[in-house]
Amino acid sequence: MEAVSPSPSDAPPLPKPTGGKAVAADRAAGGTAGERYHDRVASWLTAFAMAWSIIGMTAGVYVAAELVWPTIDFGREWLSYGRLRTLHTNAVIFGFGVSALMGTAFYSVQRTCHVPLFAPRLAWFCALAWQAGVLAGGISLLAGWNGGKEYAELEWPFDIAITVVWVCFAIVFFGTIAKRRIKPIYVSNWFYGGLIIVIAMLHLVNSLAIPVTLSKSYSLFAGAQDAIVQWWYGHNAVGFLLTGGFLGMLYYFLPKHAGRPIWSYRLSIVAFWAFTYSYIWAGPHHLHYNAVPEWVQSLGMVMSLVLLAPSWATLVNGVMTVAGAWEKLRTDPALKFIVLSLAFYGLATFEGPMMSIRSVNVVSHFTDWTIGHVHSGALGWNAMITFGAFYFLVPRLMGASLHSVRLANIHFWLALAGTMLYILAMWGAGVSQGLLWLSLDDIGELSFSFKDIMASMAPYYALRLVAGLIFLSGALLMAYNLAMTGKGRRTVAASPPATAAA
Amino acid sequence: MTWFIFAGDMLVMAFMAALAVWVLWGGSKEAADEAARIPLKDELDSSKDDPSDG
Amino acid sequence: MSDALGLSALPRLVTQPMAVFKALSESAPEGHRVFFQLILPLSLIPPVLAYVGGSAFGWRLGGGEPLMMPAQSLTLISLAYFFAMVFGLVSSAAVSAWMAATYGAQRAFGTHLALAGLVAAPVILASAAHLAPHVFINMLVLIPALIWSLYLLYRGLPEALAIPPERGMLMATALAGYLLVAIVSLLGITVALWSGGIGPAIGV
Repeated sequence: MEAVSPSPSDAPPLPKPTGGKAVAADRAAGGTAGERYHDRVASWLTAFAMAWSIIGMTAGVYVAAELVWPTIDFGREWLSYGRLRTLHTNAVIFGFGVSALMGTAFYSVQRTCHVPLFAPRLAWFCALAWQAGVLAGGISLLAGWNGGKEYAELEWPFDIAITVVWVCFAIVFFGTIAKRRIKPIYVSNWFYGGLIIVIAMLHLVNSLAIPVTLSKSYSLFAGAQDAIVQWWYGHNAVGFLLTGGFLGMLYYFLPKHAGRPIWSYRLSIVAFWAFTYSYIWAGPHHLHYNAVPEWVQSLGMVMSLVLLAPSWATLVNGVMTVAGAWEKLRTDPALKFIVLSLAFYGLATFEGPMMSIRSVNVVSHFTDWTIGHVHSGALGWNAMITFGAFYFLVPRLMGASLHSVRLANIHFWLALAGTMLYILAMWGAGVSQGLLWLSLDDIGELSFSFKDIMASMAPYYALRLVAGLIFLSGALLMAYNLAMTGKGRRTVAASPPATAAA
Repeated sequence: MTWFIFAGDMLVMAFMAALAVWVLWGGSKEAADEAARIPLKDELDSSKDDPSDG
Repeated sequence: MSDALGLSALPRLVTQPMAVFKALSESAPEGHRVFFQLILPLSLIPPVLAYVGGSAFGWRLGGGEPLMMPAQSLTLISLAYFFAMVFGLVSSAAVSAWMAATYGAQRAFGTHLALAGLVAAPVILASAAHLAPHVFINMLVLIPALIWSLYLLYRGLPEALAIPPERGMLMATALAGYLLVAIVSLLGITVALWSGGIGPAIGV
């Protein structure tokens, strides 16, 4: 049944029945009287995401400082680099990233389907259980529980908990799509849906393990097999969580923000399928020159290069959409974040395939260049697109204008400066390391010792620490700004467009 | 084993190609444009999102 | 007007940058004049300084004694550096000219070329740091210069192309995106050349 939105310029809006019986009658006839979107869960997820961003980035700044001054763990295991680093990665990816994705997914899927969330209580369960899981998981990491797999360090009890919550997430999300009132499934839902399905598959397979005690399990896979499974998971956690999901965010919030439709909708559909198809193969580029078959490495390399095209298709779509909305930049500080996120998205999605090429990877592998690449994506793309979406979303949810446009503008420059400084510091460190580690003297032996090289990296690590502090200070400003915007307010009610009751 | 992977990959490629063809020539431009406007018309008071609306 | 766009424009770029960009928007310098009066001289500065610093002091990456390279290697590297500079400036101008239609900023190619040169000037002049050939010191000097160049890009582009500041912000960001990709490509190509045997001997 097609929904028809009467254009307000055509006719006066349909009178909304308010009495209980009238509402029931209207509903029975397929109308939307009195319906409200379930937005409070999105408001809370936004707040949780901001909290995790502060916690995760603070942990990051601390470990950055530890690389400059190793004694600041004061001999305590829970403050050690090994444990605190995993707190950093898990807090920013699973705390900040997933909360932001879940919140924006719940917000946008209802709206693009013209129907309130399916099973709203289950949505609340997802949101709150996820926070509890990340919190408990973070504590377990500080306690030394660690499965040894990157981005999958949490031990088996948490893996089970993640599975349960993720299934509920899928039920809410796909249930909402199933009861949609308009026929087309908007492209952002494809990206979010892809995120949910692929992460489920990756998580289940990579987490297969034999538990020994509550805090210790052994992976079902071993050796080279384990490496391949881990990086099939690891790279696609980046691909479908940190890229795909956030593309869903982009495809919904950019047109909303700009007040214009996506420049080429058809391109976005082709981009989705090409992206989903090619990304899943890219994992082996983490394993160049390792003990995995060469054809596996080559396959990973080639598909990583193929991936450049669909990634940049979205870049073009974003840039051309926003080009037509330039007047909004005058009044909207948040649009600047989205514009800049596109530039860094372009950089990161070009740098990644480039670093997948064997002859580049042989120098860049294990160096800080990889860290620089990760953060150009994490800070420049993920964080900035989320900041842009939240600066738009929170005033909307709270029914108030942003507390301080000036602070948001300052945040913008801090975010840009922090990201650029981080990238440059890590490029400098990484290329230096790569060259020095491989340098041969005239009798064909390594010229420099690993220890000496790493000791000389301290100035770059100090620069990176400054960069992180700058970025964190911007995030703190934002948290304050959003808190002030929402202070003393409740989530505003919004309704689906009116349907012509049959 | 390699053969199976290759065959499966070719099937997926065929699917992708068919999809690309369908998207580019099958669906009407109007349908695509209409779908692109979904985010701009998804609340009761859509005039705050869609400048061409009201 | 276009003779104000040689190296002689640079002092005014420091004292009255917006005036220089405004003068650019009011003139239509020919591409080849800008190329020979601005682009070529600017492109010579970093490679020459790198050669001098490298041959006099060697290059230190951190990790011990400075690397003294034979004169032939230094010459080849400086030559490659020069061509990379020219290519970078000309290609940036070409990309800028290509993007201009989207932002209502269509101008003669010479204007875009001059814009590229003026915006890049702070970083190029900061390559004086190559005389102290330590990578980290170079970074410390070049990063503030880069900030200054980015400031010139964001403030100067709308002025030079006579478009509203908001449109200028979008175009400047798109150009900055190209520049980031170009720089990282340079890193990748350099490293790939090393792996291929062209450059320092590395154990691959």
